[in-house]
Amino acid sequence: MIFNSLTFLLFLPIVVVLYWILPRNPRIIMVFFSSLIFYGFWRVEFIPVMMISVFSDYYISLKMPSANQSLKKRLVVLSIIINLSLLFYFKYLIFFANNAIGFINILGFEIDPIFLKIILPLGISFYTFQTISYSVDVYRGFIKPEKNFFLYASYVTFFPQLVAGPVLRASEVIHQLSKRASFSIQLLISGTKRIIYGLFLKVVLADNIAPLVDTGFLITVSELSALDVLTLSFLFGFQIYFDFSAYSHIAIGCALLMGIKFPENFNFPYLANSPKDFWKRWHISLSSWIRDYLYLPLTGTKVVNKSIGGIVETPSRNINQSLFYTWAIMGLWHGANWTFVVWGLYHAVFIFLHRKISSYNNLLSNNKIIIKIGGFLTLPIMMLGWIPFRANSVEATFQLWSRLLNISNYTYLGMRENTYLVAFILLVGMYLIYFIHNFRNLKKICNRFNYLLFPLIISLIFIFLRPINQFIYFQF
Amino acid sequence: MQLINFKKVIYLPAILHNLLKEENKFLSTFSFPNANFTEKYFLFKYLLYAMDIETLILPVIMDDLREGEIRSDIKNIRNNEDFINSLNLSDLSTLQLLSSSSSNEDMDAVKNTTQQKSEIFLNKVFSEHIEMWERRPEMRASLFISLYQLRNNIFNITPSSERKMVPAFYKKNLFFLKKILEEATNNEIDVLLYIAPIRNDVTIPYNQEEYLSLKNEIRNIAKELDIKYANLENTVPNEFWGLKDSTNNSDKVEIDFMHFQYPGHIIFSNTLKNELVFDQN
Repeated sequence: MIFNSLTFLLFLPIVVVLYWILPRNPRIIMVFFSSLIFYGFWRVEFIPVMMISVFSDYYISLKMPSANQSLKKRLVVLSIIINLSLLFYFKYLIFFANNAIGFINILGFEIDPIFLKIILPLGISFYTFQTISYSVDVYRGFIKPEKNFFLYASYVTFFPQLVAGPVLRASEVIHQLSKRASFSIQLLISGTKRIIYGLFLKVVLADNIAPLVDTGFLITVSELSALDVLTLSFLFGFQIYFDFSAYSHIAIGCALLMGIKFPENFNFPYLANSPKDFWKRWHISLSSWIRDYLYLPLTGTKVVNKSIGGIVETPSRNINQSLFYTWAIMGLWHGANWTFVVWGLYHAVFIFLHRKISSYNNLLSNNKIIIKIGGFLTLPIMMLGWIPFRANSVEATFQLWSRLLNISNYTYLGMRENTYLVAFILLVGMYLIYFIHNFRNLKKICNRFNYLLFPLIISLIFIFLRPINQFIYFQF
Repeated sequence: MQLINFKKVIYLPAILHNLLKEENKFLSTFSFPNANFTEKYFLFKYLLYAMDIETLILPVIMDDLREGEIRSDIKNIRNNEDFINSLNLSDLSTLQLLSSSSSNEDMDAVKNTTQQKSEIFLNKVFSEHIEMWERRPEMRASLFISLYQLRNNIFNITPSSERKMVPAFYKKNLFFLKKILEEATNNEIDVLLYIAPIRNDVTIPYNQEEYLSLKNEIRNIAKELDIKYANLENTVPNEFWGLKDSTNNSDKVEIDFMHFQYPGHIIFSNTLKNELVFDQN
């Protein structure tokens, strides 16, 4: 089921009402089955795939407390293998097979590429990461395995975050599912506001920016000017931000309706003052997951257990190699295509450069002007980083980037006038909203107009609500 | 200049249809606001599959060459399995263009899912019981029109404002125009390629050099492919052109560079008939 649909808007209140009226055990069972219904509305046949991950990690984790260290290690490895195998089969098999065939062909043997049709189960990248984190946390002794199957399964399959995150830790959710918060109207108001805000970002903004981006990326690269490439990267940057943060807003809002608090997943990422800062503000739950379950283990550093905080720097071994490995894997997690690896390595390069500059420049790092300059440089760097994410191939990515290097490409414009106008309005709008958000007096004044703003937003959602485009992160 | 009452007036397609019928020719017309040649190419591919075509009449309007989007009405042809099966590999790879841009169909995100049925059902129920729900497409259109008017107001854009060529779309459109003409020739279809009428008593809203270059390029393409070409830009006298409501929310009427009045439709229908029938004779 997708959030921007009538089906979901009818499904949600039913679940919320049942959640608040049912006693504990039936309530937990209801959450689990309603999550399966939510998932099944996409494709029922993929529920068993998800359940393999759910069951295996449940039983493996239950075995851990009584096992010795060596068995524990084998159990956690088994859990990781099962989850990664599912992910590999559904997401990466064709990609790796065709790359292997390509390599064999280079060696002089002739093998045709394979044309298997494997449908990627919705949310597989998210729920496998979540179950891996669960068994690893049990292995590390951060949490005790949950004996109540439905409680554990509700955590993994909890519908607000099932298909596109936030990627949550068991320690953040299970206790909230187990013990219901006290009911308050304020929770319902806050949750509804977040959902409305999220729907606005998705159906009014992201879905209406999409045609401009798509039309732009269909243009032959050689026809695009440098300013076109910049404009397109900014537009897609806004589209993916509105789209993905919308999903997080709605997920957080849905959970709030049931008194469950999710950590924030976005915090004005485009106002970051460095690449590192960006990853503390963008898809925070994923970057902290990658930190705790991939990057820190690779560097041999002690891990923390919070889905907040982004990727941290640690004075440990293999720090630079680990950075690049981590980002290449982070890229591949997003999609089985070399473009995503390029995207990951692009970020690794800029984080690496930022580290180097910061280490020479400690005295200046607190200087306000330096921070402003950092922000001024970070925005276009991050926006241009979206090009491999959206381009059709690695070749197209480099061709698009190379348009920026030729001065003569700055002398003309190659797209419709509205494209630039929309990009400009969004950029100004972003700064304006941040400005209002950060100045208490201004925020107070604006809050007085909420009685006008919310009806307007709701009217726009009413006009634009239709499931025309999936959330971009569904494909991951 | 006065606007005439268009009630009960028929337009060019019907007039030309009647004129050609006398010659035992049957005209089908397809009208799509500012259709670009990429869209026209896919439409033509579909028509090649769906009907026997003897003659293709293809107007060239500079404004259409500024467009690059493929709208959902055209994209929907990919859902016709028989049509898809009739295509060769090269056609299929071109057809990929239809899938690579975002959707504008209400149900596209739930297509082929279990949810599709519930969405269709709920939309039907909502449309039956809430009038406003049924009218949402109109509201979306009105909202976008208001935004365009606001933009026009702010930047003082009128129908007379110069519209610059968009290089990428221009080249892409000419590429697909050539493809249409080549396929028509390969299928032994006669073609009439013409420069559409435009007012010539006021400054036209194009860059003169670019417009001239377009006309030359079209003529050269026609010559290269041995296609009948006609420059009909001066066919409709200036007095038969129209005025339109303001595009920037003011009370003033504005010059309409795209549409002429009823007498213009008659004149232009006869011109086209002469080009077609005369050629046949």
